[in-house]
Amino acid sequence: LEAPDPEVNALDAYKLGISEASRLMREGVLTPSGLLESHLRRIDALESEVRAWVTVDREGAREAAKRLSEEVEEGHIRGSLHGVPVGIKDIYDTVGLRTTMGSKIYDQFVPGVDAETVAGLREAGAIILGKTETTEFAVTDPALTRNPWNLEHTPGGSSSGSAAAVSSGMCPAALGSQTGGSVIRPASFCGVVGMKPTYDLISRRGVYPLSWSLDHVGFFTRSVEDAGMVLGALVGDGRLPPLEASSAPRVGVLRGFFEENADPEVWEGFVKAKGVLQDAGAEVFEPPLPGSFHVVHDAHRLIMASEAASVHEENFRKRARDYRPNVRGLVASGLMIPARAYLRAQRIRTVFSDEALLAMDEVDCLMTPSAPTPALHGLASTGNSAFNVPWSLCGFPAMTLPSGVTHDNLPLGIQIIGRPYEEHRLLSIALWCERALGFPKEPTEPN
Amino acid sequence: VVGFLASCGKGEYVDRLMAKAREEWGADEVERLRSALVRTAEAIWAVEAFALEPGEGPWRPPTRR
Repeated sequence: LEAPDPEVNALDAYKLGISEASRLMREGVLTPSGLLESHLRRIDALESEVRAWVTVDREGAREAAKRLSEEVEEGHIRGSLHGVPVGIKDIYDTVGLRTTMGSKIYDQFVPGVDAETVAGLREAGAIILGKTETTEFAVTDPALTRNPWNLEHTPGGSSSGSAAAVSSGMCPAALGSQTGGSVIRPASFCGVVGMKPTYDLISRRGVYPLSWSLDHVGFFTRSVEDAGMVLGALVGDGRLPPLEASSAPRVGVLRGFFEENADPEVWEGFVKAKGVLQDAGAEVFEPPLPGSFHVVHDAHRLIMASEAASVHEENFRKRARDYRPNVRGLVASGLMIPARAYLRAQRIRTVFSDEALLAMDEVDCLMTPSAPTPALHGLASTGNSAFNVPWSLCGFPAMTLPSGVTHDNLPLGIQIIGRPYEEHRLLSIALWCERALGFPKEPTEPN
Repeated sequence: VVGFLASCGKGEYVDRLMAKAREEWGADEVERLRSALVRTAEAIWAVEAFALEPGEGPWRPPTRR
């Protein structure tokens, strides 16, 4: 395969976001192969420390990039992600590429078919660069990945590798998934944009389930504009209108539980970000928390554990010792939940969803800190999903935007929640907020 | 309308579930998995204690407007 163009090397193309790289590729300044080689060099330089990848498919990616480069020369652009290298969380099926679910049980599993999302990305012209680290079965037993902002800290999970890879410039976008807080939290810990669209908007076919009724497809980018491009590719190119920043939004800031459970530095950072948005013209309201809010985490726990127990029942009976402790605890406890309690949890979910929608009556979006803490020191825990669980439970779309850093230079994020199926509106608000907050979009240099 | 189990205390319910778990998984394993089992038992109790109306049925995915 051809060596990369030296002029492209000089561009440090890995620093580019999707929209800028796409523009340069359309203009013929950059080729898909050149962009890919830049990211592969970045992976070579950082992977031994960050450990974001289970598999980097150099050969497959180079072949795809060569084809896509030829297509650009012929004037053919497949879609919005033409020539863009993308990382895929290792619970998404990828044809011919090992898909382990982070588990020794699937250590040698090679799918024969792509997940629908992966196929959709290829159709939009994306290059599948490889598989990113996940916690085992997307639960909470940590992956090997380190946070590029500080290698002694967790990147969060379960989509640990995807968040770290995008944050450090190993790829400009990556797929993740969220059942509790597995996109929003790692995105926040790693200082990137994360998005979880409305439940069921994006196909989960070919994604290994944790909990069918809670699992969401999600993804990571370094800008809101790029998030719009990835979402556009996932829903089908052309189905999402062009993205423009909204006017100054009416924001519903949630306090109570969030203020009480946030680290002081997180809340301080959140209040500061809120002030920046207000200074830029946002109207801030403080709607009360829904009446059922106090029980949403319990309802979520029961639904997730029950469904996980059902997913894993057969493997668990035969190979319980091959599961790591947190998955084992989740499945074992899920097997003990009475059907009636599961149904009550699903009924509480109905009540909360209705109440959450009412709480949004007078505002364009809800806003909270993205996580109770910054990225925790050490790799023993991936952090706490409590601030994300309510929105996974009701299935509303949510995003996180980096909003500042702690005294120790760890990223902080704001979580923005929209109404069901109003992703475009949510992205427009997020774009407005991103411009007001002015957080840098360049990859971080691991230290 | 609250659930069937809400008539017993949280501690009593947790103890009951842990005893059942020991029968199922053995005492050593239950000790290893204690935090997950206790967390789930407490969640069952909390969900049972939440008042629901008969018309409030199980959740369905949000529909497009």
